[in-house]
Amino acid sequence: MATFETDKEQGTTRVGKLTFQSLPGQSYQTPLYTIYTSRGCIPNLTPDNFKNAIKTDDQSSCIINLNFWDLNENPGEKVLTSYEEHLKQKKSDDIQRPLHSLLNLKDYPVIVNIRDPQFAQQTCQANDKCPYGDTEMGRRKTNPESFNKLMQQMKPELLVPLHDASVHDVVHVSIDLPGKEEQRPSKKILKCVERSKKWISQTSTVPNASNLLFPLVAQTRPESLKQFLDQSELKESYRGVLLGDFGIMPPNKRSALLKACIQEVKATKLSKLPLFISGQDHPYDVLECVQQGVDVFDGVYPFKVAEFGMASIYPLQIQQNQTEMKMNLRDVKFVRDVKPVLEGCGCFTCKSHTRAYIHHLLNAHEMLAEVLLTILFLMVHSHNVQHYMRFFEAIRKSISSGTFEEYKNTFIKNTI
Amino acid sequence: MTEDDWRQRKEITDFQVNEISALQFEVVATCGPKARVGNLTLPHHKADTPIFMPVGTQGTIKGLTSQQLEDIGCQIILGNTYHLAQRPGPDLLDHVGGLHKFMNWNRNILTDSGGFQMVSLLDLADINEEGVNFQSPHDGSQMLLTPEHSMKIQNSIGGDIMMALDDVVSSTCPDRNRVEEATWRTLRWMDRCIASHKKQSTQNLFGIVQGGLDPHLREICLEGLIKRNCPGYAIGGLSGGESKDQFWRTVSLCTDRLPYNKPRYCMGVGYPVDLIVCVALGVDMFDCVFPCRTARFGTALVGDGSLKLRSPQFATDFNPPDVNVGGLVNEQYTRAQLHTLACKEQTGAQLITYHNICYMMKLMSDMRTAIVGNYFDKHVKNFFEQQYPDHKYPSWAVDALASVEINL
Repeated sequence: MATFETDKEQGTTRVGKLTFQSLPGQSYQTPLYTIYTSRGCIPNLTPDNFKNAIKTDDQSSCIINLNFWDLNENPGEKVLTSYEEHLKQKKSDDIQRPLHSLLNLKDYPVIVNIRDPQFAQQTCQANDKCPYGDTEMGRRKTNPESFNKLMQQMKPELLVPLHDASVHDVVHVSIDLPGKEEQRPSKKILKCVERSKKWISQTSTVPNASNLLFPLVAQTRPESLKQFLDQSELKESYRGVLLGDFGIMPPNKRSALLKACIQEVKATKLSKLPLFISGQDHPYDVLECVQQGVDVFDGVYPFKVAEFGMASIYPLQIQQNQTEMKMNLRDVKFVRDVKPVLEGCGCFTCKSHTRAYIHHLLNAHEMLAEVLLTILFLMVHSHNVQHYMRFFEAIRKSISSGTFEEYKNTFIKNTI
Repeated sequence: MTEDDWRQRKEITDFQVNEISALQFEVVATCGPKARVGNLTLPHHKADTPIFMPVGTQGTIKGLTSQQLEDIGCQIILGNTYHLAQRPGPDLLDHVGGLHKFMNWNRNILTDSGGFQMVSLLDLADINEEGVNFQSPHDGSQMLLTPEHSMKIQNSIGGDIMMALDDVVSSTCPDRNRVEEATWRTLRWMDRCIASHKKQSTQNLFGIVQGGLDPHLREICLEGLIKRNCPGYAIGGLSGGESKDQFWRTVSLCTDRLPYNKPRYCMGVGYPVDLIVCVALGVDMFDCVFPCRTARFGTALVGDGSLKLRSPQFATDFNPPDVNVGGLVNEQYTRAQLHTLACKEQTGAQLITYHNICYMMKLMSDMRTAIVGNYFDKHVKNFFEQQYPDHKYPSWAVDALASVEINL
């Protein structure tokens, strides 16, 4: 279902193309961002507004990120089966992709992960029996059989098999403390590896599955990672590698670990596959990871920024003057400012509205609470998502034209 | 004192007459004695009557963009003067060139006078001849809303239709003297509104007929407003808890007397059943918060009533909300999906609001088609059968429709 080819490489940095059998004639250029959803929809953006927000010149590169625990409740197996019946009766073509049809995502490929992109750290837990997630409805468990059954029904274009990635304590250990560096792998990490080997193998056995990613475990402990890779069955059928979650650690430490991690992967059968990463969504982190050769990202950066009424204004091309990463539209200086949020931005918000209007929505919310916040978030999400998509487009363009290093360096140097 | 004595004391001989109209209105079809379809041309855009106008309050309609409202087919939306006066305020609106520019809506806007808040915030209001004294519930500050002040704010907002500041008294007010006082004061305030309205050539000032539920008082107000030659008229002071029987009789009285060639606006009327009866009685324009408000609680309006989409029965209902109502939501979503989103995701509220406004637009356009096609009476009967399959029609509606020769 999913195939990847590299278009151009510059050292470790590269642009590539993902294609999916279910969406023939479409290609998805990497590096790209898989967009966050909640209950199957993009926050505050109805389909018409969403289409506008993701538009870029190269017309591509929107993959939808769905959370497994979400899908387990909504729609869940029962409702989806019922929907399949309904489609059969209607003799609809949508029966090929029932989940996409139900969630109104027919035009897009989806990736399903057990990790919730909302949080900087992995929140999905596990014990010896099974992985579990804490949802609004309470603690929910799953196991390889029901996971396989559901995913066979749902047919996502990209799927992360079950594994144990609850590596919190490893993050603590790997922070620079004298002497602690060369510790033997903790019991916890060994457990993660054992469970993951088992579950990955059990959830990679679906016949004709061509959507699976191979998830790394112990990615922050290179020795354990090497062992894990040696002992795992690295099938031909894997379509990508999920570098997983580097948690919270100093950037230089993360850089070094990421490099080591990618090197280990490149030394195996999986070397030609696209590299996916979780939890690296801040533009600085994205640039760093792109430089190291990462292809696909997740996260909630544009939405997080919007939470406080901020609009993204980081540079989309090489520029020498200083600029801020974001603009606080609550600031009193915008009361009478009739310019668009960002001059030259083609998003719906900047084409139709002014800073004064958005400032008004932000302040008026004291009177009418969530009603205006909705439209405020609509505006700011529209802008921030569009800006983020353009950011990835800028990355792709700069790699193709050989100017990525310069873009990255001027970006980090000139933004506050 | 006799009735005539009262009249002598309060009749104003030196009244203002509205000179210019900034609209054109033409009745293009009728069906039955009172129902009619009209072409209303306002400064920003045309409008087809009978028309439903969604309420926008603070310069936005509950999570929908101006583009989406255009896509759905809205031609007039409401802005609430009281709230807009607080934020963004008349100065900022003057600076940006009016509410149309501020919210980027290029069709029509109707602003109320701020008077409705009098009834809803009555505890905090003190009404005298000068105006209405509000105490803001948010910061305790005093605001005096006079006819002149209301005109100034509405001029800054720049709506195509403005409402005069009227002395609104609740329809359930038992004090007849108070209701009468309000009737006469409405006329005196109308004169002050006309005198201080600075943009007669681009903004239409509608008069509001008050008089409570008393036909005599209504007559006084009607006569007074008609001779002041307003470009259009509103029927005010209703939808406040009066009985439906009194409601329809008052509406009918007003539509009997109001000029034929001017638009008539029944304020605050928005339940589908009420709308269709009022159209039969000759009303042209309506506004209500109901469709948008009920959407935020997860209720979708459909042909035979409404669907509480949060109810578990919709978890596996894969029909669109209402297949007869078009638009993005009915084309792309199922009740099951909206059930998941209702009251849990903002997108859910947006989608159901979108659908409900589509529903209201279709409700009105079906009525217009039926009037033009000369089968409005059949249309009304079908509508009631759909809404009340057990044929237990509300008696007020039966009476109201009988008065215009539609027999349910």
